[in-house]
Amino acid sequence: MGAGQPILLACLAIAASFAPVRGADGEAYQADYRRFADLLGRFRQGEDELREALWAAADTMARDHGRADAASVTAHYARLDTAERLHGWETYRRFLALRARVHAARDADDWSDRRPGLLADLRELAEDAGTAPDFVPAARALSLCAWIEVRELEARSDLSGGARRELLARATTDARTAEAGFERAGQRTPRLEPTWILGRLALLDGDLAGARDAFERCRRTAVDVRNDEYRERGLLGMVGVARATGDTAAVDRLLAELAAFRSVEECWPLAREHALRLLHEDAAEKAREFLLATTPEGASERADWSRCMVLADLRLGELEGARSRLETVGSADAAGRLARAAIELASGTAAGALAELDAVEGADASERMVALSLRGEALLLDDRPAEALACLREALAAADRLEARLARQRVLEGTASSVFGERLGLHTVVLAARALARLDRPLEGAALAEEHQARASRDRRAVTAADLAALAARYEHGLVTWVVGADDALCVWVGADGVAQSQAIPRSRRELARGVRRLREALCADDAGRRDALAEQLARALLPEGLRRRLGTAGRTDGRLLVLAHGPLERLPLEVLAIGGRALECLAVPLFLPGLPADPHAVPPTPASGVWRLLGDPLDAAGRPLLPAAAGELAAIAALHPDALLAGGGAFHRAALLEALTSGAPVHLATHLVPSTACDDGRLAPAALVLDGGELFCASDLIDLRVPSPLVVLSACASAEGRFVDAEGLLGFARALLDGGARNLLVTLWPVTDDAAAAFTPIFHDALCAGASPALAAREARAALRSAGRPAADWAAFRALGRD
Amino acid sequence: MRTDRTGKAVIDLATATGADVSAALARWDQLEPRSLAALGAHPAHGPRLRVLRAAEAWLDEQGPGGLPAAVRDCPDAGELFAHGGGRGHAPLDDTRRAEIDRHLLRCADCRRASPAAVGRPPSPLDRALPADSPEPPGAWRRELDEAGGADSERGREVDRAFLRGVLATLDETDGRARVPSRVATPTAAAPPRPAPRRRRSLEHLLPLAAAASLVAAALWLPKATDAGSLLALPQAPLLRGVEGDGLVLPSGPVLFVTAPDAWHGLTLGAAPRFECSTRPGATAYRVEVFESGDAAFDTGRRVAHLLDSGPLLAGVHSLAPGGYTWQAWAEVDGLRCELGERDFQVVPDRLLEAELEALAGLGEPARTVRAVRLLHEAGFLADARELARRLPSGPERDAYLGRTSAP
Repeated sequence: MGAGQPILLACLAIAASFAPVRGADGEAYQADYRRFADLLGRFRQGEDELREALWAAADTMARDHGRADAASVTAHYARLDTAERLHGWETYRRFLALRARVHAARDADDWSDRRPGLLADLRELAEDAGTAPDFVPAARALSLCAWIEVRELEARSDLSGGARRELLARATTDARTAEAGFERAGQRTPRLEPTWILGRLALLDGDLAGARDAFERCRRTAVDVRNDEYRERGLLGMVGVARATGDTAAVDRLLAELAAFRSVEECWPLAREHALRLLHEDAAEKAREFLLATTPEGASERADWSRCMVLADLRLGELEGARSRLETVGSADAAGRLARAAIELASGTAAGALAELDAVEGADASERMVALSLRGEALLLDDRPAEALACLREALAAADRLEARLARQRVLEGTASSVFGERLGLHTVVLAARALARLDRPLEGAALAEEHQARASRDRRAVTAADLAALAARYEHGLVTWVVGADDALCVWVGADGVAQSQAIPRSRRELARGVRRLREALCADDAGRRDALAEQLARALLPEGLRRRLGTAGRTDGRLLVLAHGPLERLPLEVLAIGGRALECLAVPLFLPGLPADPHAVPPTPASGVWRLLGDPLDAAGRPLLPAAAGELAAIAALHPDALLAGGGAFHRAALLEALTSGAPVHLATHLVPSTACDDGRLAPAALVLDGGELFCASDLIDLRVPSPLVVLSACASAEGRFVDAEGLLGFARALLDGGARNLLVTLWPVTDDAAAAFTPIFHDALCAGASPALAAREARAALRSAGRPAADWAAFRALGRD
Repeated sequence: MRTDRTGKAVIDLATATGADVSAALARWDQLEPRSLAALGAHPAHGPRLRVLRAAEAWLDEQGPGGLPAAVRDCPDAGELFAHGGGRGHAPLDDTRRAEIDRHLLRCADCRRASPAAVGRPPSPLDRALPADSPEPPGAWRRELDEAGGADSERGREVDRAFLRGVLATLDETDGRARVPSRVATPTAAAPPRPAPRRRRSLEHLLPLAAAASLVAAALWLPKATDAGSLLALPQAPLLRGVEGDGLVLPSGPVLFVTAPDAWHGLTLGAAPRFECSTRPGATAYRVEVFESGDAAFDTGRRVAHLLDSGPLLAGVHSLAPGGYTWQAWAEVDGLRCELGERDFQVVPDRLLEAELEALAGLGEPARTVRAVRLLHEAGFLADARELARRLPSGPERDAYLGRTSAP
């Protein structure tokens, strides 16, 4: 090797550590960074005369390419005298040689034998260089130590608790010290490695919040220094955290960012995560198509791909295909056994499934949860509901502990996470509720279903059968609730007398969502024939026979039924479901809640007390009304409530809205509700109310806001809507107001015309003034518009949410 | 501190006093690059410098004269053109359209620049006919030309006389013509329009007389005058928000034409095009069509699978009467994004067909406009929209296509 070659190699190493790997903005950037790296390398090797040129190159990088770190790197080396730089350079060459040895040995059979020696050499280098003026090689050595240590932690499941903790601590110290060293030297690109390692270490330690922070730091730095390799790693790390917390919205967002600079063909982890998302969203056929179009090359990736195909085959019911594919990848590990158990279950072979589950070894926490759920399902299939219930409760308890741990780490805050909905899956809840129904304990089944849905609104407070029975007793027809899993659902009606009746619904989540969509479309298209046919079909499919019979034969039509609508049924216009040719709301007064309130035993206050606050009628910048009918609407309502305080037009601003919402008085809002990406807080729907002058009031502005109002009327488009999170429901304005303490809401299920809203709400208020509850007033207003010949899109859109 | 030959301040941190450092921080923007970098890299002074730079950056972001966010968030020219329905504009997705709508409420500059931010005159005054329109709209135009064009004194008199007549006719007809659009756009001065060109007149259809412009307009309207102006396309009702969906049309009924040959080449019938909302970054759209019948939960048998690079997909030929479901996906950076699914029903309607066939004697674009109105009012929104695409580009047509969607 000639004298120049090591220097060239070292320069290239510098360049590789400094330069972006991919995605650089053209030839100018490439040329400038190569020049800078070359000058830096030579300056470090004693060519002092290059100082000015190096500074100029650093200025160019900072000025033309946004790489201000070029200047800070130069400053670090410019502070050193020639001897110090030369010493640093020699140490750096020692490090490069050590690194080459590590990379050569890492996949060798004797890696475990060679590792301690390599670690010792690296530590010695770090010790030597750590006190030198050019301490960067020490930071590099420590970073590489951390890399070796984290690999060992990830690979060794046999480490004792003490050994594991010690190794974790050492690796964390090494990575942190390296990170700090690079920071002090003004070097950003080298920091990527230890930052990323800290994320992996946090994951190993179960610290998801710490992991997320570290991966996000890695991603951000990688973006700044245009390093796609670490940007990918940071993003994949964050995907892992989001998946672990059940935050599917974040997973989708992160995958979209990754796909913007990595193709699915070249990045198997991206393709895999996307395929898993498609499977998770019940799009198994799409998942399979996608997988077939993105078959990876490498052996381990190919095996991973095959496992994903097994899942797709399983979801599509192609069991033989799944079985034979599983054999090709080998299925002796825990994941393989679980897959075989699932295939056996799908084949209807409970014994086969149980045998596979009995043979599972070395399962991690996630796999153990899945195993418990599968075992419960197998036992239920085998007609052993009591044993099934025990397993399923254990799975739910594990998920509960996970959720509690995540909540303590505060990693769920500001996210649309749902451990039960998106991590464990409501399928397990459905199974448990079915087991209870089989044991003739449907009321407990209903309580279990309620306990594991809309938990965030209740601060995860437990729900007992007594809670549910007490709540049901307040309503003449009791309450009805559902739990919708991926493959089937269950409905439980709890009568006012506390007697419960369940009904299995052998329809998947996607099928139920389709039924809901069809009924909504028929209403909006004012297609009465189609609407009536669907209304009958859905009522038969979704409501227990006992409830249908009771409603159909009850002598009174003002009996109330509390509807705890979950999953896709939260969007169902249940009021129009038909029983014996009559709409449900003609037989009873339905009240809707997205879940049990935090205080189910609270006594309702006197109806809509306090002076009404009427707000809306926003104007544009030229002073013209955005909604011509809103002014009339507010005026008509003001005439019904003479003491009402009106804030319309130019007075409809943020301060007025906040004052109204926090005043404890009933509030009526007549304005636009529009999507707005500026309002995306990661949890609630990115939507906003339009105030005067186009100012936006986001749904997220309601977070932590106390809204002690007895009734809030949201006379705007689709105000019941929100970001759907399985097991949590629709997270938007309506949910935020209910969580903030509002007892009742009047909302809309879909977009409504200005004209229709202005026609509906005065009638609603008139009924309120006559003493009707919000639910009854809504029913009357719907009937009035229907009688007036309005299209169904106008009257069926409005719904009263709440319990009074 | 000393200065270098370029006049920039230089500080040597090794020898600088506290006062020197303070002065350097206060005048950081006047430091030469190496000194600035050294200051930034200093463990104590670096954080102070960063705060100062962040404050400076924040002030810069306020823009000249502290302009409010509304102005700083102005859409670029291309988006504004697309929003205003400028000729040949690229599609704009609903979310972005709504954002620009709201921005226009606050930003007068953008409103003036937007092609949509004009008070649209009643249709007959839309004098900028496209070059490919074969027929002039009527004798009044020839009269206008003979009067010396719209810009002449006499031309303006004719114009006003006709306008009064047409407005009177409009007032008597479909009140929905006056329903404001989804978001009230402020009116501003109409941009200058090109002078009308001389065109062939419809002498064989309309009696011509300068003072009979009102009569000409009245005769020019179809016999069934309940639908209002020929050039007045149906307007969507004002919503208290926006439609939010990945799919546009078809939804609801699609007309099953029993005698397609009788329709003289106009595209109609159960061969709908599938329109999705434009998904930013999408390079491909896929649509699958299923024969779902009257099912409540099932999709049914797949009958078509379409693929296109754009959000408007064609390729289904003559579906039989019945219920169908279509699902759409977009491919964005290689990822499959589900846009949603919708149902539509292919239904025969002989009465409507007969009404459409009765329009055969009309010239274009009157015939197509009338057909659009008939289909729209009967609820066949997909067919109406398909026909409307064939109309010459113009504010009304573009507004109709921009706003028509099924709920």
